Amino acid sequence: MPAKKYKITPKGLENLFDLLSRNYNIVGPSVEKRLIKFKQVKSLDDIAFGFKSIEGAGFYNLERDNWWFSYNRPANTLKDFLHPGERFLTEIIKEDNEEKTFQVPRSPWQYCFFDIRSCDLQALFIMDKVFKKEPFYLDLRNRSLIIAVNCNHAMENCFCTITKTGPEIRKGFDLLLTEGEDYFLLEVGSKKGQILLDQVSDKRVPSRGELEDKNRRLRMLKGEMADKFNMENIAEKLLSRLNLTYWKEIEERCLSCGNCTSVCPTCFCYDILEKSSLSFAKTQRTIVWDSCFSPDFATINRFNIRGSLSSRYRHWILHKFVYSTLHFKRCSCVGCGRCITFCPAGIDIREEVLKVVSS
Amino acid sequence: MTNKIDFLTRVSGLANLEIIAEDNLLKEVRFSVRETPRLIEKLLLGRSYKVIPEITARICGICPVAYQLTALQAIEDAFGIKPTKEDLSLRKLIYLAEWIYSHTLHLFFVHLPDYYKVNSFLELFQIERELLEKAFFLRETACRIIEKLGGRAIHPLSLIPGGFSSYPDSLSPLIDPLRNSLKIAEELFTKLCSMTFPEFSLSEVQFVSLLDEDDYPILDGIIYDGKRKIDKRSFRDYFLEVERPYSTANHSLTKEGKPYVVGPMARFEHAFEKLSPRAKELATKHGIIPPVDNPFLSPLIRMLEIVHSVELALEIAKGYIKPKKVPQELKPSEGEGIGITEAPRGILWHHYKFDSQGLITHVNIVTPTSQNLASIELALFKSLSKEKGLEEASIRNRAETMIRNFDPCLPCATHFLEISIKKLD
Amino acid sequence: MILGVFKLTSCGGCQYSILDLGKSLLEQKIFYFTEISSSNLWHTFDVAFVEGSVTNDDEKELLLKIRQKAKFLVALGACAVSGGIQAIQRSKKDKGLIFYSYPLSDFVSVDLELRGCPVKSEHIEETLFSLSVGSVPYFPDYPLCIECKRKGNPCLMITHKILCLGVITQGGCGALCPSLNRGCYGCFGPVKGANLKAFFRCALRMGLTEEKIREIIMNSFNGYHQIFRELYDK
Repeated sequence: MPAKKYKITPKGLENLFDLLSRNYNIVGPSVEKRLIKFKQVKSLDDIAFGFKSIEGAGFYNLERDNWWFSYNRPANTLKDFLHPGERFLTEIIKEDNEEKTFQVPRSPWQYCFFDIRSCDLQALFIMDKVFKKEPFYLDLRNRSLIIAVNCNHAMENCFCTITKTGPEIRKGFDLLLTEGEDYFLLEVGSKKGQILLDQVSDKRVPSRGELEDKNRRLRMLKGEMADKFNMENIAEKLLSRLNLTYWKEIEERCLSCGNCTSVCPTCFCYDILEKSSLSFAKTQRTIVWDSCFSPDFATINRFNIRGSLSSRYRHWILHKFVYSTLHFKRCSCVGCGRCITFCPAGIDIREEVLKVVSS
Repeated sequence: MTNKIDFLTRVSGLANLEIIAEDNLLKEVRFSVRETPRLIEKLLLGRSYKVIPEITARICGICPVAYQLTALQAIEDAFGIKPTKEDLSLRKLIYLAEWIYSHTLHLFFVHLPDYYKVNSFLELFQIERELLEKAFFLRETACRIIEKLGGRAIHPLSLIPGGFSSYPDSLSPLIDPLRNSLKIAEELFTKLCSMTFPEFSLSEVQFVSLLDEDDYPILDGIIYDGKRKIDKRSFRDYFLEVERPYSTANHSLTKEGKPYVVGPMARFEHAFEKLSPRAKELATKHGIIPPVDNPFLSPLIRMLEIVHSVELALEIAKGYIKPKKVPQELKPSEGEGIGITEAPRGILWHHYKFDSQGLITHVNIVTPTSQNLASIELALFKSLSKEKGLEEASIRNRAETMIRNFDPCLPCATHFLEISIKKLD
Repeated sequence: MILGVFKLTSCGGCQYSILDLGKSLLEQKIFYFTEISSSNLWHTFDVAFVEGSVTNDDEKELLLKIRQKAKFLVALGACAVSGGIQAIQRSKKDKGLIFYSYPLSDFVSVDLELRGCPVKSEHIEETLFSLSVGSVPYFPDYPLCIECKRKGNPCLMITHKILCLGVITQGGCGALCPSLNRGCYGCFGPVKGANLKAFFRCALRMGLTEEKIREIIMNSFNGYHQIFRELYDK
């Protein structure tokens, strides 16, 4: 049994990347349109090394830093690839001779998700449960490779320690990287990972000190995140506070724009749209992201069960912290803080939950 | 006797025609525009320079790019910034696409049914299906170009002071449609040349267009009236606007009080030599060369400009490389700026004054159609005075065809008037 | 279906979007469309599209007549839905003017409002298709942001720190402006349930004055929409 832990140099990282790019369409964090975003990349140079994002409530800025993996999770999520915002589902074309053709596209990509952090990996576990019978998702997911990375530091909006979804990555990866002084710790999590690793040159067995160093860093990281609320009995606490006047107050601030659900790595709601041409020659189905903040989201045969903004906001919070525990045995807020950063109104979910549970 | 023809059809906007005759002798023809003025100029006063391109675009739904580009030139003139070569070339591309869009719309969907004596292009489809399908293709190509650069075909969104808000990654999807369009446009020109057009001469009017040193005029240039070269800043010294009590649109005259014509015929007259190679070759082959003073031949000249525009657009699309730049920062300062370009229908002139915050203190816009109105009336008078009976049925078609020769766009002609309007309860 | 297309006060852009339907137009019976046809008949219209706003008594009468003749009346674009850019001249700032421009719904019942300045031709197609098969046309009724994120755009309010009206604007255009790196200027008009209070709060937080925010809404080509009218009394 070969050792499961190695250390590689930056050269080795380059070598690993080359190996990956031979068999996979690599998706990694890259700088685009003033932010760090998951996108398809061609070389290691495209990765946002040396950048980091400064994030606050409704705030985002890019800065330089001297780590390789100096940034945290990117602005967008893996949803963009496995459950895209707009996906063409099927098309039926009627030819002139009345013959009909059906088209059901399959994605050509074989993804390697490079640089996945703990929060996003945990989110993926939830999405795996949601879409366990969805052929498009399953097909892509089964063919994909995960290169996970442990964070070096926490941002202001990070709270994976509260939701217990990080910061340390323990499972769900093919390979796991942790940045050290001038090396990277490389751990294997699967057979596919092992096969890859075997081909990487320039690798050594790490010293005990170097392994210790990883744990020391992760402990430090835990301390960087503020304990704004705690998850103890959160479901009961929220359920017993459904009629607080607080829920009404949120209407003063929440725009109901749905930005939070769009950037959330576990918000999976979708709608299916149909479009036909006037000549009846073509009809199309598209699957698109929906949002529980959309005014008519909960309309059932013209009866809207969540007509008020406050009821929609409450539903979102409850879905994350209560319903999800019932459905998936885990809270579906993974503490990535994207909803805080990208809320134009600057609403901070941590503070809102705290307000509810402490009143 | 006054004979009134209400609701002229197949023109863009609302207009009537009044024919005043004595003893069956034509005295006067009044082309009265009934479109409600929307007072766009008034509306701009006190607002920021930033809203000019968007709001002035709404003067016309057929040539919004013309308004945006002329406004941008004026704003950039006032604040002393120069767009880069790449930006100018892209602006030219989107403008050429609008020429194609506007000319195709007018020529095939509005004007051509006249020559087949049918009521609309829908009826024409039964006769000339292939021809109209080609025209649809040209219009479609033009729409795709504007969409590619500006997000949507009508009132595009990326044109901002100092450049573009965003550049497309590549224009290669446009190249094949443009190649096909060039072929189609050439075929259509040849087809149109085989048709017969009524004889008519409007030699008494002056042609006024821009002149550009290197190009067929479009984005910029100096004004030329056949004799004099006039700087865009002196526009007001040479061309006057007069009110017509029966119309909600002003009429423009030269300072000598004469009607003048702007648009494709004027550009053709003054810049024939600078047409694209294919366009010039085709025109020469079919003997369509200046001087042409018969407005009934304007469809041919419009078609020629379509060939020219497609050929140039193809060239620009082929040479496109996505610029690596951000829009230039713009600092508003007190001052004034003037913009002048060749809209599909002719010279469009914008004049603004700004305060130190960049708020608008003065606006004046002169549109192509308002400049052509006096000539349209003159042409109508000349054309109708040859008619024997002055009954509506007999002259309606003749009059409408003459008006369509000039491609008037009436919402554009009326936006600026200050008149009292009946208040609604 | 028998169609009529009418124009009141407007730029004319929306009605030409109907031509985008191309050849499938031939299958429709267009009885009234003065801008493209010389033969115009008053008939009972299955669908009447009306572009433009009402600015005088003649237009009001014409509209009433159209309503009588139309089984299904569609307000085509921002002028017909909200009164258009010309309608904002009643705002306090421009008090000196005597110009009035009203949306159709101020005078007649409107069966469907197609948003946008200009409307999207796909929406016209969807309308005609649905009506021809006897179903209800579907259009987005949620804020633009949802559509914008589907396109993969980051929020410009956060990354570019510019005000974007998308948060209170109805989706449907395909998030064109944010996709071109500029804030939405609201040409699709306010979304149902637009939270103006929260929007002002949010824009003030970005450093704009209340007056400036109001002006930006006025310039949205839908400044006189029913939902925005409360702003005129301030």
